[in-house]
Amino acid sequence: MFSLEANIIRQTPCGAGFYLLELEAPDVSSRAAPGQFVMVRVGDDYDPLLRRPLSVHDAGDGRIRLLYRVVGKGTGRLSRRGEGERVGLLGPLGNGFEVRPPLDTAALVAGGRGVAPMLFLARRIRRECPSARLILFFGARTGEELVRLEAFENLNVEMRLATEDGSKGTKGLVTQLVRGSLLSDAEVRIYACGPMPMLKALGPVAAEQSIPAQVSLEAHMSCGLGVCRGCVVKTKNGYAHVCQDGPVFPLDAPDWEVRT
Amino acid sequence: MTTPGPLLETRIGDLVLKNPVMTASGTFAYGAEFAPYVDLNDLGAVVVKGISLEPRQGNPPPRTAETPCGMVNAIGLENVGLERFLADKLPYLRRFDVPVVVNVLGRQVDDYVRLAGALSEAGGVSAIELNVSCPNVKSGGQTFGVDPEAVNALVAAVRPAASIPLWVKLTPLVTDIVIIGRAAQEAGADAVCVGNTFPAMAIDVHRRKPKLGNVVGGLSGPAIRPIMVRLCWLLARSLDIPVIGIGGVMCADDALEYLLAGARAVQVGTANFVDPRTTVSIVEGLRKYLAEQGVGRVDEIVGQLRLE
Ligand SMILES: Cc1cc2nc3c(=O)[nH]c(=O)nc-3n(C[C@H](O)[C@H](O)[C@H](O)COP(=O)(O)OP(=O)(O)OC[C@H]3O[C@@H](n4cnc5c(N)ncnc54)[C@H](O)[C@@H]3O)c2cc1C
Ligand SMILES: Cc1cc2nc3c(=O)[nH]c(=O)nc-3n(C[C@H](O)[C@H](O)[C@H](O)COP(=O)(O)O)c2cc1C
Ligand code: FES
Repeated sequence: MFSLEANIIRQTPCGAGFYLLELEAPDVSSRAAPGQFVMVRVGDDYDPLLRRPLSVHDAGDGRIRLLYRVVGKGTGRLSRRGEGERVGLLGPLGNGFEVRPPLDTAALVAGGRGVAPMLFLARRIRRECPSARLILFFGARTGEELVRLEAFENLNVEMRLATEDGSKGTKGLVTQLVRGSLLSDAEVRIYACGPMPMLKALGPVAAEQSIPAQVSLEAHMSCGLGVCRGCVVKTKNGYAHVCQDGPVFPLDAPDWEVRT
Repeated sequence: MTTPGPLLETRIGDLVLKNPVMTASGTFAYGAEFAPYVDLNDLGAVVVKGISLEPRQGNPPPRTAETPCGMVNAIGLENVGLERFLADKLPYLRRFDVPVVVNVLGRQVDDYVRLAGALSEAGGVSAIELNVSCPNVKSGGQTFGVDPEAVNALVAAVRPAASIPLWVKLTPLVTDIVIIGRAAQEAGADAVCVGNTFPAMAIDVHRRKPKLGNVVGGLSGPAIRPIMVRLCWLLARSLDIPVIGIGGVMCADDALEYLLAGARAVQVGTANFVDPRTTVSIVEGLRKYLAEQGVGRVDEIVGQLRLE
């Protein structure tokens, strides 16, 4: 784990309130694993006060990239930072997705900003399991929110898109796309990140076809270090701490009944 | 070890601290989590997460919400419990040359007495800090800390069981903090810490729901500092025992506010989340301030607020 002030190399809007932030952070870049996150200090004063957790979207060449959506004060503030400025960075933190051969097909399932960790994951799977088939199932409310598609195309990731308003891809929910489109006789694995209802709906889909699935969860985080004990999710064995025990969990670990 | 320049050493009763900067309970876990960022030997003391007799699961999520210049938390005193603290956490802290202060919490007087006894005997614990912001089961759930008689009775009961220094961490939500401070002093407390988080709540207006699973929580961070500085000042003027300032200490100037108001030391809480190196930066900043002001020892500025 490193604590540093990282130089902003560039920050690019990607539409629909998404931003791609590229930072110089050699130590974090070389240590990070897909699914891990960093805690970002969005400004130098005390409002917003706490760091914001963001997944590593991509890493390499001494740099990391973050992909985030502006939803409130903290992400809004971050979006107004630019080249030449520095941001406080803590990480890489948490556990990552498990990527291990044999792997024939990796289904990356993303809802909205949940697409953030998937690019780094796709890159790592390409490296560790070069012959694996990679499919991104990506759902959002509108077509405009289906960001960074070109980055996945560059890695030869097959794309299955869904939007709630039908403006791009299939009209409907991304979990409906996943259902029925996976082969359960080969080595298939699901990696997912997105809103809780999406992850919950994925449960039966994965179970029907006996496909092992890992999901990345979110919780309000104050420290990201396992210190404040704030970031809990209910699991079948009591509370787990998302920053320390996760953010990646087996799909069947959370107690989905208690979540809203 | 002798360091050139101003001396940062301070005393809380018989306990000597290398410098007046400690961690606040619940914001530094049991120390190990901060080892990548801070040399624990550089701290005045490590105050660990509140310990109860039995492990506690804590409250349902969400447990934290950010508010302007602060945060509200309702962690629910999740902790590993006395037994695991002694077996798994304390041995790690003993490896460092830093006083370990154990914050304790209970539901009834007897819980505190048993905790104080066990921690005094454990070895390697330098002081016990009583968290009196806990619901007192005997008085129908009202917190110990709001009632001078309850505080007096609690400290008087724990005192004989504690063979090491006993600090009392007060709640700020009282009409007259000095009455509570005196109650602790008369019962034999070695120091008072002021204070714990301020009871608070935050509401999500779109969902019309409380932002915390527990509905209410405690406010911490820079937002509460002016309130705590005043309470600290009131106590320091009235008590004979040392006062320790807590609340929104983010930098050396904040720590100095407390020292000038009369605190002999400070604890750093929420700031550890903002920057894990806050404590050591503050120690550095204090050293610089003393040099600039031509002050030889940090003790010389304690309570030196000019009021003409
Ligand atoms: C491990 C992890 C990785 C994440 N990775 C990404 C990412 O790569 N890209 C991205 O866009 N977002 C990511 N998030 C979510 C991101 O942290 C929140 O959107 C952000 O903290 C909101 O801050 P804000 O100040 O803009 O919003 P606020 O004004 O604080 O709140 C706006 C909304 O965001 C919610 N929120 C606030 N804080 C958090 C939090 N810590 N976690 C989850 N929701 C929160 C609030 O409930 C509210 O609905 C991640 C969250 C976690 C826990
Ligand atoms: C996440 C969190 C957990 C805390 N846990 C405890 C605790 O276990 N016992 C206790 O006496 N105080 C606890 N506190 C209170 C702090 O020790 C401190 O008194 C308070 O946060 C004010 O200081 P600050 O503004 O520097 O954070 C906790 C505070 C926070 C933010
Ligand atoms: S965010 Fe503090 S314990 Fe997980």
